[in-house]
Amino acid sequence: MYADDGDVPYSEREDWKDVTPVPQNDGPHPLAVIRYPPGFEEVHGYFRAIQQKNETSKRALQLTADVIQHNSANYTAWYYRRRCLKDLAIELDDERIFTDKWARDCPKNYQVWYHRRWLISEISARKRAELSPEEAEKAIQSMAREELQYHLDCMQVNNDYKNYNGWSHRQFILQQFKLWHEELPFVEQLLREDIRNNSAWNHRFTVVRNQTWPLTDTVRTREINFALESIRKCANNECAWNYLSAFLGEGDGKVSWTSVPEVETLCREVLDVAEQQHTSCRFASQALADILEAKGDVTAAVAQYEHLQEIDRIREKYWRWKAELLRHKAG
Amino acid sequence: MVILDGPETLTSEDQHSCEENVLAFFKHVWLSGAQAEICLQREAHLAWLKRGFTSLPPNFAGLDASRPWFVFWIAHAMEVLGDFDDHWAPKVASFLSHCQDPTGGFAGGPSQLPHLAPTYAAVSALMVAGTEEAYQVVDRAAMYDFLMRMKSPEGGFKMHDEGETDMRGCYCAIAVASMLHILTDELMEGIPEYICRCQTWEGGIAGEEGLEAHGGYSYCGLATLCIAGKADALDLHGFLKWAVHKQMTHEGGFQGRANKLVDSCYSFWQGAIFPLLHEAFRQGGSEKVPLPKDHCWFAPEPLQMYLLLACQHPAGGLRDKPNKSADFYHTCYALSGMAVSQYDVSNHTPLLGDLGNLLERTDIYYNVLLEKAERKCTFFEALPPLAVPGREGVGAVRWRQHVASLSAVEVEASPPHQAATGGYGGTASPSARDQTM
Repeated sequence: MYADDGDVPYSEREDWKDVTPVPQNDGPHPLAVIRYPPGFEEVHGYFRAIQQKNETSKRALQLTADVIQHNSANYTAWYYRRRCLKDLAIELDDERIFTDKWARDCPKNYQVWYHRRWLISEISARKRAELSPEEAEKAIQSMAREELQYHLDCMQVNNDYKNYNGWSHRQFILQQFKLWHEELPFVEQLLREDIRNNSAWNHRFTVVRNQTWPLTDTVRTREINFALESIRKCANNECAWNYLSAFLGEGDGKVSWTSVPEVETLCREVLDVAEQQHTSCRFASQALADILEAKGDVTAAVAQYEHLQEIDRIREKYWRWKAELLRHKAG
Repeated sequence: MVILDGPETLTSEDQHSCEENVLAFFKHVWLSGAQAEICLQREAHLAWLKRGFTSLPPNFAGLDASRPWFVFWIAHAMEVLGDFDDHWAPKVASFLSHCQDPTGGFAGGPSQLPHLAPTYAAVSALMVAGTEEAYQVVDRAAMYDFLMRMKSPEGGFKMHDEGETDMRGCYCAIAVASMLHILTDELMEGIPEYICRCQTWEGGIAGEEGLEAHGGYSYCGLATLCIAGKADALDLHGFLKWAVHKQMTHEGGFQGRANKLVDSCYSFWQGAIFPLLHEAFRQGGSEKVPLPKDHCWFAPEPLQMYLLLACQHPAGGLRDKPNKSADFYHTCYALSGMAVSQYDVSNHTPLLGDLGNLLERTDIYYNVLLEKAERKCTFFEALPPLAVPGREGVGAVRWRQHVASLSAVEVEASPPHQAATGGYGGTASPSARDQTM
């Protein structure tokens, strides 16, 4: 149903005879002038004309598809498309298919993902208006799960498990349709595949935060243990250490670095293994410094920061400053 | 049982191959002794920028809704290189005036919807142009209305009418308001709370609440609060802890998120976080936090080495990383980041290579030349106030006053052979230059 006139120029189409295209007005001193590819200017000329007429119609909707075909980042075309879809009360299932391709092929395009988000909200609102509450809920839940699957498909097709807009869409769906409670197995699967995927680690935190907040001791312990286990499997992985410190120290939801003795034990174990292999682990040293500071052992903590200055030269200034700060605090 | 490096995964494979590509460029210079290569190819970059300023090939059609960005990226890259010629200013003013919407704000091109991103790009480009004619292009009253219309009920700003809300919106809106001296309390209302909700468990800031800490959004959130003098709302120590780990041990450049690849654009987005944090601590009262006196926690020389050796394209322009082509976005932000790294907080210049590599000094809040920020201030301060009296953000003003109070910039170039063989990857190797607190 979209762009079915194929290659016939708009100027030769019977149903566009009443419209005079509006040329782009760059003024007398244009900059960053794009040498537009064939067809680009004509389609945009008609789009400007339709905008000026403020016309929302089937042909306007079809025209926006052509504009988007030329430039999928044209937010004005997507905006106008939504206006048409709303004004004409058009069935939105086809629209989901229309955006499938764009989100999959242009995963870094803000407009496509935002359009999809709008679409899902609009479809669920319409279902609630049209169907009985039970039927509507069923249909909406099934659509939401399709969206989660679609996000996974996009990641797999592009072999990119860190696409920011995709993750944003997933979290929107989980939030909107209250599906956080089913999400942990999905995160664990992604982390089994790539323990270094920080987007998955972040998602884990957000899932936990949306499931249980304020944190219970049980959940906190589970998450700390998850991080510790993960560190054992790959101690040079920054994500797991960061995740650990999301639950330790000072701040909302945290307990003291000294309250979980296993953390210090593991830090020392990692540092021993590293030493045996004539290497180092800046994350373990940093965590140990935090623990020593929490214990009030300033001298030992400063020694860790001095060690870090040696082994982590690119952050030398930061570690030196951390040592200074500690001495300053201790008086 | 502890394993230091677990089995290879997609992330570690990508990282190893990226490291190899970057190190190949470094090794080439170490082995050949071709130290002259640690040299900014100014002429090549400028020639390439000038071509793009007037004309772009058909494959840029997908960026037709970002034309003010091209004007800013190119104009700013030129000014940082010290060669923004005066004859461009009237053209910048003229073209951007055709992107301004009568209801306020600027669009991605003529007859498009006003949008906060091109609005920021256009206003910044007009500041780069630096003439009264350019300043007068902006309809400030309509701009203020537009910015207020974009305020989102959940906090933050929508990018356009019925558009998405994310961290870019905050920076674009507040930076524009501050540059134009129309920043008000009502415009800032709810913004610190919104940005704090987006500071993540890692310490950096996400594009939206719940998402991953990210260099670009972190700069946007932090700079927004710093402009307004409200950075204390954030956990600044947690932020710094996150940011320092984003400088890559071997490559020297920055990654945008944990376990992602180095990318030259983060030279600015991450690199500028450090002086912003330093200034936020200073404005918050240095009796509370003793601050390093001549540096900002990261390592400027390795960053410059990454940019100069691995990111310059021989045909002009800078790229994200080796094996990519140069583009205007990366050229702008690679050079912006290099400029930030060349001026420390005591007006010294940690400079890799010779003086020919030194760029112009920029304002870390707006990313236009420091001198241009001062120039526009003189102009807008003298204008009569609008119906809702606005001002420039106090944080941005205090920083410029502080910089002006310091002694003049002292240039120190570090001999390339020392820096290039310094090596930050291993355990013990001689330092590029003596670094004292």
